[in-house]
Amino acid sequence: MLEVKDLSVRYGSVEALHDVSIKVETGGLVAILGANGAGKSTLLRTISGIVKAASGNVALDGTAITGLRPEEIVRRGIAHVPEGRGILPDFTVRENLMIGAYVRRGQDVSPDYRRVMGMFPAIERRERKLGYTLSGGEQQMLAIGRALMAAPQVLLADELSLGLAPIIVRQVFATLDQVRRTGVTVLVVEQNARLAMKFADYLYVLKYGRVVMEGPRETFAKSTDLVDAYLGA
Amino acid sequence: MIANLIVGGLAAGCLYAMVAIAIVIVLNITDIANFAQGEMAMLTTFFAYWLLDDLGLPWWQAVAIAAVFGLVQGVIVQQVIIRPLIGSPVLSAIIATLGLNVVLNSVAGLIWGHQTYTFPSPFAFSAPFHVGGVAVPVTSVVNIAVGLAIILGMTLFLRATWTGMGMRAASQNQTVARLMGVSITKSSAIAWGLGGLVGGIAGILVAPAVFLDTNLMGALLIKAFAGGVLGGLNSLIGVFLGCLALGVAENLTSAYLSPSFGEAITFLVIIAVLIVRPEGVFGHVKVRKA
Ligand SMILES: Nc1ncnc2c1ncn2[C@@H]1O[C@H](COP(=O)(O)OP(=O)(O)OP(=O)(O)O)[C@@H](O)[C@H]1O
Ligand SMILES: [Mg+2]
Repeated sequence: MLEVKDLSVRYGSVEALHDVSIKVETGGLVAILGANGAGKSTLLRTISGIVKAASGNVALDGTAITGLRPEEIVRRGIAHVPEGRGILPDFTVRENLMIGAYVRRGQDVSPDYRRVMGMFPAIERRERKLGYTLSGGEQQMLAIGRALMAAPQVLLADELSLGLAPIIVRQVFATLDQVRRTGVTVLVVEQNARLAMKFADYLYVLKYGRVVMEGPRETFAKSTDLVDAYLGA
Repeated sequence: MIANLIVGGLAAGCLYAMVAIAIVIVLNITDIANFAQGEMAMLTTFFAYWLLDDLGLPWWQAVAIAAVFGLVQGVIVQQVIIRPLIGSPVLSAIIATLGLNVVLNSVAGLIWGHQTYTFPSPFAFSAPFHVGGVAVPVTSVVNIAVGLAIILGMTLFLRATWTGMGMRAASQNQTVARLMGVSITKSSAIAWGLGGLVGGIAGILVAPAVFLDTNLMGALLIKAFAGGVLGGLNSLIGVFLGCLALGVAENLTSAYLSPSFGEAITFLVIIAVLIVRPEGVFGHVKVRKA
């Protein structure tokens, strides 16, 4: 279980997160909704150790991971698909996938490589192409595949739908659902509330760095107007 | 005659390439242009000289120890000077290397003075190899062999080892590299160590041909830069081939046009490449955002 407790983060004088608490049960798929600048990416970056918390805690299965370096956090089983995908432009598709297994160097990762490639036929065909030549959808698949190469316990995904055609978005989320069914705990950040409500079992809404609404999918489905109001601002 | 000139050019080009590789490995992985690379190499060469002359160690031992010195020196520079500047603009680190350059030069001057020394080479009086009727001096063979070994070793390291892959990832996107578990400070330290090692080897190999003094690396640095720019600074192989081409071009123009033109070609190359193809012959424009 991934648990964030009373997390506050500031960039200089800007407070990006204020006393945020969220919980992701093992095997669950939780979504964080929020408008631009709500603090969604900051939350994921803090969990990953890229951004330091001002106060509060992050714990994985009861063990505090707050303040650890990102290298250590990914080694403990939290992989992060960053906003904008973060495909390495001068790496081939193969290298982009393999670098995801960096924390598992020394192990035989070829079975995982074949499994991940099998999940994404579109990128398998482009194994030798450089990262920057891929389309947005292919890059998103590659970014998810790369995170899976770390054999994570928890997958963090930041705005997978950004800039993708609706049909591609549905494919990407279907993949995420598949990943979750293999036992990986998933925490996604989304601006697209409809989409998130279809896949997540529990949701949070962030506004100006605070949690303003939370509940299981059913509750959210009944209060779409309220959600829209929060996301509209 | 022409074959001799070409071999001589390749041998000189390999020396340029070593210096260029030392600079480019640091530049590519950390975005820092190390202006102290020449003086770091000079210091390593003086250290080797000290081992040879004052301690009387055999050449191979002295060179091996000096190579380790070069590597450790690079790591120390990174840890002491560059690491505290992580997070500040790249320009601060570049200015710090300019400062280091001055400091190292003064320190070497204080210890060894500003006179010249003769750096021994075990190959200086060896009979040349004969390759298809061409007499190739052993020093040329050594330079070329070492140059090839360095470019091959470096390429393999960066492409076929986890550490090298991590360093290449860090050179493209530090945040993503960290998310994958790559330590940026470690990558940077290794790059600096390799730079110190390869630069030091270049210093030791060039010293017997010129005289050893505190300005040992000056001329070599400019040629390394020209060759690197010619090949394209973002590709190690490009840098290597660019330096070889420059070495050969220099030798041929000095022989067939005039010796002074051989020197001028370095600057012509820099200017022409920067105007016509700034990314270099083998380089490509860096795509930062995919
Ligand atoms: N590196 C930074 N330095 C300073 N302020 C930042 C930085 N990153 C984010 N912020 C600020 O923190 C707040 C939260 O940003 P964050 O990127 O977490 O929002 P977000 O919900 O992910 O937005 P988006 O939907 O646009 O991605 C914003 O006000 C933003 O301007
Ligand atoms: Mg964001």
